Amino acid sequence: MHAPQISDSELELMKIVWSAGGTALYAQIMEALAEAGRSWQKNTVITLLSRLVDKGFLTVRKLGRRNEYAAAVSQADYQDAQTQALVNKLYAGSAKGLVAALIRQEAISPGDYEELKRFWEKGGGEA
Amino acid sequence: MREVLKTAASLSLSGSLAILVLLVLQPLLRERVSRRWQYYVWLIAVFRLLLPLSPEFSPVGTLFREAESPAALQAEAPRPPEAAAPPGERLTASEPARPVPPEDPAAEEPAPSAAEPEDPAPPEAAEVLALVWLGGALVLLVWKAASCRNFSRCLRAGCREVEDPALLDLLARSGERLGVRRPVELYENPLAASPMLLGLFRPCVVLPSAALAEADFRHTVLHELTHYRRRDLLYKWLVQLTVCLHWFNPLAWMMAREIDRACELACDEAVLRVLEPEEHRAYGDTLLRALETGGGYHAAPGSAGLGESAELLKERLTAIMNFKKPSRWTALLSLVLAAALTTGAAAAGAYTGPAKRNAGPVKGTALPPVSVQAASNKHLRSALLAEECYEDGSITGFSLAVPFLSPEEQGAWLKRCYEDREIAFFSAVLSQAQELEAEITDSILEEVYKEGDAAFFSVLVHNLNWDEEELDAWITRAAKENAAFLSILLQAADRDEELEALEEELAARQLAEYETAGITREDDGYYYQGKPVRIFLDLRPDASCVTLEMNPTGLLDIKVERNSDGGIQFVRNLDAVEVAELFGDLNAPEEEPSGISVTIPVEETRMQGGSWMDLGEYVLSEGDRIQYDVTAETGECMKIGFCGVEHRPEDITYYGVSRRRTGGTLRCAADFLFDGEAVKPGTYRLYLRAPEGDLGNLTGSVTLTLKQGSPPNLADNLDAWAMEVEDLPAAARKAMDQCAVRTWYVIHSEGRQYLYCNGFPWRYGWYPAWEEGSWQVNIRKLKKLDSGYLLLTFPDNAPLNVTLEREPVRLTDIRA
Repeated sequence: MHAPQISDSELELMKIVWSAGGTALYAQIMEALAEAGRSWQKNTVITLLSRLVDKGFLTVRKLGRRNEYAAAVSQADYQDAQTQALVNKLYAGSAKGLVAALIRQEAISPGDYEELKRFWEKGGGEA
Repeated sequence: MREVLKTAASLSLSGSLAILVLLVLQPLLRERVSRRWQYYVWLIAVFRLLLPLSPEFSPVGTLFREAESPAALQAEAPRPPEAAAPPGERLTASEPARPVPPEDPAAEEPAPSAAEPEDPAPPEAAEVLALVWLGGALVLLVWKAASCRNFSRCLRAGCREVEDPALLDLLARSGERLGVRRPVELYENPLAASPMLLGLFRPCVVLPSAALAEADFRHTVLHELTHYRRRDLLYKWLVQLTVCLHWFNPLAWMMAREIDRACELACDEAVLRVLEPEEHRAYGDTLLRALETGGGYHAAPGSAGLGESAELLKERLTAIMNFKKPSRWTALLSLVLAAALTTGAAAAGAYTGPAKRNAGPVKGTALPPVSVQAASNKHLRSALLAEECYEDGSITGFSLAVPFLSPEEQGAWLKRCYEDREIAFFSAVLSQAQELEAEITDSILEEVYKEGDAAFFSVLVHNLNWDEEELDAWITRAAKENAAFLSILLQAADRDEELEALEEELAARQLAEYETAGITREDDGYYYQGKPVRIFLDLRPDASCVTLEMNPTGLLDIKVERNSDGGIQFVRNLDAVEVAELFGDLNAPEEEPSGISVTIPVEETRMQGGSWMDLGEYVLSEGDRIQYDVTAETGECMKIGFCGVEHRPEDITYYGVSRRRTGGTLRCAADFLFDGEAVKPGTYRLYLRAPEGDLGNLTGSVTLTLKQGSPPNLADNLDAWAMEVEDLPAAARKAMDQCAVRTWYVIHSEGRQYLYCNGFPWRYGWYPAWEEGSWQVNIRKLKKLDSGYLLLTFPDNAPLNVTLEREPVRLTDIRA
């Protein structure tokens, strides 16, 4: 799947929808944003949400006068696609190269590495 | 087919007349009426070009009909216009109807051939002509639509969404300020030549680059959103449609260009209206900078841009510099002009088919009857204007209307103004009315005299045309009864010597009066019971005479209280509040720079009996003011005071106040002046004590006005904190709307100052300190966030200096 890019602030909205179980009313999203200490303007949030709808990450349903947003992509799928996109972009599709790079940058501890290796050997990442 | 062609040609002709009139009026009106009016007035020409509506007898309609009639076929050219004129004159309210085709460059091409069927064109020729016209219009329309679509497609393809929520927030706030409810998309595209607005239904603003200075960004989106709010794109499309239909008419093209110009000027005007005057220059800077940046795609017909040609830009910059809010008078002028022009354009008429002599009232009589009537009824309009201006408190407009009112109305206004005690309007009626009836003025004069209202009496006396006998009669009367009125009358009669004598007499009489109350006058001022008076106030109840004198070396502040007859009732001391009312404004600016006020809030739910609360250390010096006001909900006894830093409050206290609960309340309130004699200037600790038993729910504050500036004790009593936008008081919150992102502001509101920077995506640490009479704050970035803002609040008692990672930050002050 060729995923369009999501900006950081859009991702934040997606995370709210995901953590609300995949669907959330506009008002719930605003509430969650307020809890997270975001004071975005109403129209800013609407703009970001409609961008997500345009990109196919959310679907919108009218419930009376209220808008209910539903995630069209699960969090796991999104993360997979993002990782894949990154691997494709930087390491020409080779996950091994990515792991090596991450280890070099000490972004992965040797323990993580062992776990990844086991996962790899089990055939988890055919990509 | 022939009919269609004739209608089109007649529309083009009368539309051209409207355009010509507007072009001629333009230089006359440019500085006199609002830009918005200059923009929308073109709609008259646009609709004249589009709508085949016409009164039964209109110059253009008749012209075309005459040209068609057999009589005209035989007659030669000169006849028709003259013959058409008389019926036209009856209906037209303005000149534009009169010009006739020979002077009109518009009718050059197909119009003549349609208007001169004397040259008996075969039906086929007319058909061909009609096809050429329609074909041309169609081709043009398709071409314009396609190129616009192409343009917006190319532009959108290179667009990138602006992701920064701070910028989106700014866009949303700007929209709110202009009343744009809908969310508007924000893109950037380096190919765009200038910022522009696209899309009638899903509006979006396209910027060449979103990396603009904050002010530029704000001005730009305000401008584009204004285009959106006014539906300028719809207007532009309507104009384009008109141009396509009248493609053969050069005046239509000229009109389109003028409308584009007027559109930008009107948009600028609307933006300036929401900007503060000091921002106007910056708005012009934005326009200039927009010209420098930007790529190759210039705005297409279906878009609204920020800046185009240098010539237009120059005109716009001039307009920005000369911007002033239009007055009520301009608005009236605009309205009358618009009514006249509409009437004129409608009356110019169009060819709507063969004459319908028997058809009774003709459909499509586009004359607005109300405006014609209003235009002829100057008197009615003035009455309305006077009423409206009176309600609005606009003296200027009111004065303009008065001369057009009938004498009875003027008299009625005079009475009403007196009853409402509106002295300014009262004076306006008197000075503007030429022929007020004597009975009315006499009765009002009598009434005013009896009620003893010196202010109104003075206005009347100075504005009425007196003959000498009358004036003498009044002087004789007043000499017996009312000295204040006598002086007014003498002044009006230019009897200076008598006036002087009277004033001397009055002064002597007043001094004698004062003496009976124990007030004497010496060379250096008034004395009361032998003591020099600092402030002396004698305000007569009828306001006929106010004596206010100040003697800085005096000791007492006194006021003479008079009873309703004007006699002295008693003399009393002015209290601090009255003095502040009288001189508050004078003293404030002098005192402010020399001292700072520190408010130490007291808010404690519980204080244990016998304990004491440390409220910080302060340097007290001579002249400092100490004010306590603290209340406890429960408990019996409370004490506030200062003690030396090396002492404990049990040992020795200064300026201490100890209170017991009385009448259900326990409140310590006092107002001291630190005299520096009994207690030596120095550092003291402020404390609050619960001497007997617990205290509950303490509220209130201690306010110190320190002349020399003194460090508040920061460690113990930090009156500054970080806060959320939501917790801001409304006034400060409102002021925040004018804040740009990534700019540092200090918002002063209700005794506090708020340091605010939107678009500060950091978790931060802040380190306030008090140094040499100002707040020093250093801010350190701790961790990068996606977005965020910084909001700190301090008491507004001293200047605020901010450093970010030890680098000084430039601050913009806003007063809410």
